[in-house]
Amino acid sequence: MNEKITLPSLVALLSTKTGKTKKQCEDFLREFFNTLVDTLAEGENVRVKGLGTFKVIPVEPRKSVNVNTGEQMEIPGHNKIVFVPAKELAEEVNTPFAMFESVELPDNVSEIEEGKDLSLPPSPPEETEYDTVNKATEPDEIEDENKSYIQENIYNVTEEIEEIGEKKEEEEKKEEEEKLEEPTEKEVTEEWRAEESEEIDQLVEEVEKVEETRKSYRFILGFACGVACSALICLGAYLFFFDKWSGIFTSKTASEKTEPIETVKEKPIDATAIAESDSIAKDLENIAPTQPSDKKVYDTISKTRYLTTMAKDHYGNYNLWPYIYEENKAILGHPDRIRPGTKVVIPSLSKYGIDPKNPEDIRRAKNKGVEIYSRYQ
Amino acid sequence: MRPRMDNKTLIDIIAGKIGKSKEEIAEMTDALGIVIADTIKDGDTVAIPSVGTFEPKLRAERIAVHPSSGKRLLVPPKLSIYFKPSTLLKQKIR
Repeated sequence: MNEKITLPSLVALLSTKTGKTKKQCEDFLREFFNTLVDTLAEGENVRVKGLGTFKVIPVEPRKSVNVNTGEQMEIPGHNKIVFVPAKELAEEVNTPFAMFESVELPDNVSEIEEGKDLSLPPSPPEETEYDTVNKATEPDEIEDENKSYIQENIYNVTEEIEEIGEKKEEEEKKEEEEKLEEPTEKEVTEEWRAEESEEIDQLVEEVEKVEETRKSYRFILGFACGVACSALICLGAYLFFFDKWSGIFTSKTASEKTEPIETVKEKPIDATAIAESDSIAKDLENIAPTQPSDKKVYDTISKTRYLTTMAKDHYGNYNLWPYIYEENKAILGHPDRIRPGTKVVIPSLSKYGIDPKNPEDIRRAKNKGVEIYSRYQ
Repeated sequence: MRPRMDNKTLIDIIAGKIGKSKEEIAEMTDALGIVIADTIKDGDTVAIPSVGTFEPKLRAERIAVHPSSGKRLLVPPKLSIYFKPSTLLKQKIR
């Protein structure tokens, strides 16, 4: 690599190639280049088969300025040599890049985005953490958002409880609700949990929001009441709607009861929130209905294990990552912002009709990658 | 158009000078092309004294616009061969 091959080594290479003696080869090379130079010196173009054409191109005299003195001067006309490699030589030299083809770009992909796509395959960057941190540092906005959302949910909850018709509980409930707005977020969480089993992605977002709110100072005031409410809702949900999942929810409630206090006391910015949302996402994935007939392969994203590395391991080609992404797009979000710890399904390639050995399919996968990025413009 | 010496004439001249058959010279010329291609492909340069050097040159990927359809194309990187004439040769042809 990056070595300079001089005439003697070229002679050696040529003699091994042709099977002639070094002497013969040296004579040939000397004569060959002498003839070449002589012919060019006469102003003739020379075409050598398998190598290319050496052209003598006249350069017109032109005016120029001496940079140092600012003096006008004229560069006299002369001849220059241009070498145009033969087609077979050019192709041979370009073999390391021969598998690439010009790719048509969709109009909405910016040049920067495109560059990123080619040079950096998606990885789980730390940005996720920063995002969450930023959100946490602006608690007021989030609280406002959440308030309205929570209030909506309170009405739903109230209705449901009336339906349940447990009069005792209902009375308690109403008293509590009059006292609190914030604390009901506990029950809201539970309510969401129950409803959202179909909409996993939405849930992950919402759970994050709730966690932000939970960090707020007001939560301490309503915490005890919130616990009571959530217990009620759990009971109601258990009895009437979701008895088969009740075990999971109650256990979750238990773990959450202890956690928020610590978070509030320590810092408003807490990395455990991320970890927890991940675990919830994972749990929900497990809960989510899967096709029982297919035997599924799972893999977990980590700081050193991305969709591309998985594609390389499972399919033998990192370019096939878009198919893993497609299979898991509901839980992944932006392909460059995947979270470490997320468990993903590795789909069988036959599901998409892809053969990792077929260059056409690889090309299609690359286009698919570009398409995925363009969704997040 | 300048006169052009084609491959056949060149081989004739060389064959006449060394005193070998044209077939042998043609074979060696072909081999020379292959040897140079192999060397360049490995990223090495071939320097021939008083003639010049053959160097590999990497042309970076770029975005080009198709002139007629207006579509934007991503042109892949390319490794090409570049001949840099020696000062002596430049002097000779001036």
